[in-house]
Amino acid sequence: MKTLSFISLTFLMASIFIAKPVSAQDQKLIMYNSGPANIRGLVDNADLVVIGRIEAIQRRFTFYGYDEKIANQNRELEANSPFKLGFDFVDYTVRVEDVIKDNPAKPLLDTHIPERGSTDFLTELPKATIAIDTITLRKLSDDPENLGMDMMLFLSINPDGETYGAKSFRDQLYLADFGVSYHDKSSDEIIEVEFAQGLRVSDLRQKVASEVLASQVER
Amino acid sequence: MKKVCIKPVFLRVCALFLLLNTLIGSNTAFAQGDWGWRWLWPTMAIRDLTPQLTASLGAHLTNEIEFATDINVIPGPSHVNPPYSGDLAYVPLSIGSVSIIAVAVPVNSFGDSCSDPQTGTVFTALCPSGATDIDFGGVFVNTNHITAVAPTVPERNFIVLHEAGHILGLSHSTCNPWAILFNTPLPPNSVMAPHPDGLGCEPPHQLYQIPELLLLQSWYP
Repeated sequence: MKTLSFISLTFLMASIFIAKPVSAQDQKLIMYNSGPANIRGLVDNADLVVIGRIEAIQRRFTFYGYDEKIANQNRELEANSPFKLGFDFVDYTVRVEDVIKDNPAKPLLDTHIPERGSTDFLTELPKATIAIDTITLRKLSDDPENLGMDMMLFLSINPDGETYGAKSFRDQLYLADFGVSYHDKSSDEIIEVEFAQGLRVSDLRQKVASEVLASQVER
Repeated sequence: MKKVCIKPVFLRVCALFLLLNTLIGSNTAFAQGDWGWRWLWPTMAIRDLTPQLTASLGAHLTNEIEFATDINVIPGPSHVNPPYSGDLAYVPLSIGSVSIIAVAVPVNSFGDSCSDPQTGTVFTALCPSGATDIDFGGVFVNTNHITAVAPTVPERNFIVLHEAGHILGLSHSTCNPWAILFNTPLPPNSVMAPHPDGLGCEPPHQLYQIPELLLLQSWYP
């Protein structure tokens, strides 16, 4: 009897699973950007490269886009179609610990260059200190939260000119003693990043800084 | 006594799960491109809802898809509520710096989308209406991504043709150049390659290749 009940329960659970209602709002085939598999590509695509800690959630919200014309059109389309065109986002506060490539349009670094003619001019090198030590990282709500994690972030400024986002999986690298990795959202796997295999975090930082410098010199 | 009973129950439940898995598996184990048969519409219109944003797209889609199928590209506006009449909507998104390049949503006549987001295959068990023939589709492209990462017309065409291919029933091709030896239906590095960059898929084709066109022709005779 117990066996029968158990099997019936299993059937019931299976039928609930099979009959689970799914709407067009849930099912999307998404083309993701995995990002370039080399440091130079990541550096060139980024406005800002930092090492930082994902510190806190600022807010969660549904967003129809930065272009008001497109956003209004999509709100209207959503109301009259099976499509969900609003995307759920989360704004995170990132505590910046190291700036490897600064965004000249919105600098985090305060660079002190000794004045020409001053006594320090010949002996002192320019100094850069972090003047603004937090940024807002805007991610989709189904991305990993990564709260408390140390990451190397290759970020692009959003069209609002205020917040930053990551355009690919490899733009968000997890820094750990045992290796550098990224989250592949399409397969939901953590993958060791190709160009950092066997490297310590400090070595990787050095390589990225070299590529930033080379990129700036070439321009 | 309890211990004696647990084993048979466990075995029976295992057998039950195996049976269920087989039943469910028969709906999910389609080979690549296998779900095109679900289309019942003899003709399909691709409605470009934003011709002002995609001036070059309409002609390209027409040239590409009409070669193989009985599909027309019609500049918007389109009706987007049932009955869908086999339309495909092109819709831009402006969601900024995120890893999403584009999204495809196939929808059946009840407004359900029952495709598996991982594989692209239609999953009968996920359709509350039970109807797996797709009547309508939406291709959404993150224009912020295109502007910064893929600004050229060929790359834009790759993205839109790729997502339109999903709506038409094509799933991903492989990046493996030896795939043809393993009798996979789609050629390597085709417009249905999973990513426009990385994974050895560079440079992906910008047009449907002959095996894909043959598949489409067989689905839309």
